[in-house]
Amino acid sequence: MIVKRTATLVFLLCLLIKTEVVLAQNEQVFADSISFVDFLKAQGEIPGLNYRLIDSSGKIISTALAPEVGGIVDYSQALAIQDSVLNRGSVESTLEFLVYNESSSFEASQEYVSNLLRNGDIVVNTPDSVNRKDLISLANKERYSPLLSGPYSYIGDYKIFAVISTITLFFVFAFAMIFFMVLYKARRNRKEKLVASYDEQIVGPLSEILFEKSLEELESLSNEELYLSFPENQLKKPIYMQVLVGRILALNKKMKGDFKLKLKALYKRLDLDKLSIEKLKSTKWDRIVTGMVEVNEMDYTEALVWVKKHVNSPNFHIRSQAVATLLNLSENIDLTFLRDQSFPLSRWQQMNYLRIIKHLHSTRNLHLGNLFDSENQSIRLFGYKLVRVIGRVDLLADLESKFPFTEIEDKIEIIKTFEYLGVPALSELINGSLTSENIKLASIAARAAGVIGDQSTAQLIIKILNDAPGFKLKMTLMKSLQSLNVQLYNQFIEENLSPDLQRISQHLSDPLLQDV
Amino acid sequence: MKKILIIEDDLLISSLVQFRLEKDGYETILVKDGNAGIIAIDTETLDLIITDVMIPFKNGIEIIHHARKTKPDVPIIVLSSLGEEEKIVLEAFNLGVADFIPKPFNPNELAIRVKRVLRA
Repeated sequence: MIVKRTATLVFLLCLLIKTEVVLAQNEQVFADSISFVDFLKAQGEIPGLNYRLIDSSGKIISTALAPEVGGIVDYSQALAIQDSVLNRGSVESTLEFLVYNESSSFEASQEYVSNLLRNGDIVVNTPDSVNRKDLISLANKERYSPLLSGPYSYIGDYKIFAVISTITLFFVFAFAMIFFMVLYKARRNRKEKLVASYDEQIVGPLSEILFEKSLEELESLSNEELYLSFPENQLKKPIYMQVLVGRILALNKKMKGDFKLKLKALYKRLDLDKLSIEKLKSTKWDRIVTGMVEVNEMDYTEALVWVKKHVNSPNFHIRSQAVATLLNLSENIDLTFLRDQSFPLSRWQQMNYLRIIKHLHSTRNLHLGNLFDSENQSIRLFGYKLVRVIGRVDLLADLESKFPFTEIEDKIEIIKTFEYLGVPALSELINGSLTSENIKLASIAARAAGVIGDQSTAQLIIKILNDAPGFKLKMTLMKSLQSLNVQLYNQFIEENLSPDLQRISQHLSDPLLQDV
Repeated sequence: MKKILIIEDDLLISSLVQFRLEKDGYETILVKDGNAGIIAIDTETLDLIITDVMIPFKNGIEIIHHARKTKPDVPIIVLSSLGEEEKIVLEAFNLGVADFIPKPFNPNELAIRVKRVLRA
């Protein structure tokens, strides 16, 4: 930013200098002919400018003071001679200007003198200024020279300056990038070497301590004994600790039996649990997730208080891992942490939690009913799905009581659950849904009616069949009626002359088509 | 002293197995990839081979094939993850491996199985 501003400033400065020079070239030196004449009078002699007197016929008037050749060099003198000629009454004379002995008009002579002044080719003869030693007057005496000359003249031209600046910046950035890449690679290589070296340092003592010490010995290991295997100075190095955590976690995954317990004891004895908690307090999402994975892998239940704080995190990975860790490690899982989540559950999250819950539900007390009270619809729907996937028939009564007060999506999921588990529901649950204006709900209810409906459902199907919207819904309803009461179905078909229903009936009775 | 070749790319696992077996008085050779494993099979006099299935350059099945051709009498124990393809595990058994130990495993259990295989 500073470089950019400096470059802009320098550029503007050069532009300003350049602009002033351009204006000076176009500047009018003399405001009018009077000021030019006044200047000639005051200046006296001007190099290259002479005067001569001519009469009305254009003939040169020659006097002693005004020779025919060369002319008069001083303007005041020329005027005096003209006056004297006039006083003598000889002829009417005119003063002619000569620029380098060539006859010139008044305007051309004025322009010639102006150029001399602009270029600093003459020193303005002003006695006052010399006396006062004014800076400007003194400067006037100096010959003009461009401020930016030689190699610096390039920055005077803004186009060249812009090109040079762009090229310079490109090289600066290119070199800076190369420098940082090399630096980054060197640091990464150094880290890799350190990790490999620590790996080798850790493997031996870790194997030894796991085989040589019993669980009790490990738990009561003194610092001195511990430092024999893992030197104290090394334990202060973050990379060493990081490698240690990684290796213990990796071994924990691949080992079983008392080795797992020993690894957990060692993890705590080396204070690696504190590192995990530090990670949970971090502001970086990847560190928090790593911390939670460590807590999860090492069954570090004491850290669940910190894990709980991340359950409603706006970061997807953090809250997913937090819920997974809590599900894995909590003894009494009331699921309130999941119920109170305000973010919708993705399909991936549902699969992930389902995998854990399926594994746990036989050994832990899961309060699935809490999920039905969630304000988050996706959590409620997940709760209904869990009921059917893990077969919690004990919760169906709860679902039945909640059914009338739930939204359409909830109703659909609850009906699916009843249908999946094949448990007959209250007739209002299915009958009310069959007459719903929501086609999706009505279709799901029509399908489920065959499994969980009763005779009142069969009567209702007969009532609504003729007016049911759509071929698909009619067919589903007829299938359900057939499963509920075959006699009633046959009677209905015999009495009903609707060509649609007759065709559906033929379709359903055809052994080749009935499952199509 | 019985000589056991351990072919395992995971440094920690191989070191643990090596440590445990050396504690039981076996001489061990540790290699980290399939190529080194083949060379060791060809050049060393071995009493047992313990190999992982998923290893660099040549997989465990190729190792078993090679060992069966060159050292048909040396028993082989396969040490591998349960998650690995059932087909590979079955193929290993069909090739006549002495035992299969799934990960996660207990090194003490491995030591017992090694003892049993070598005694047989």
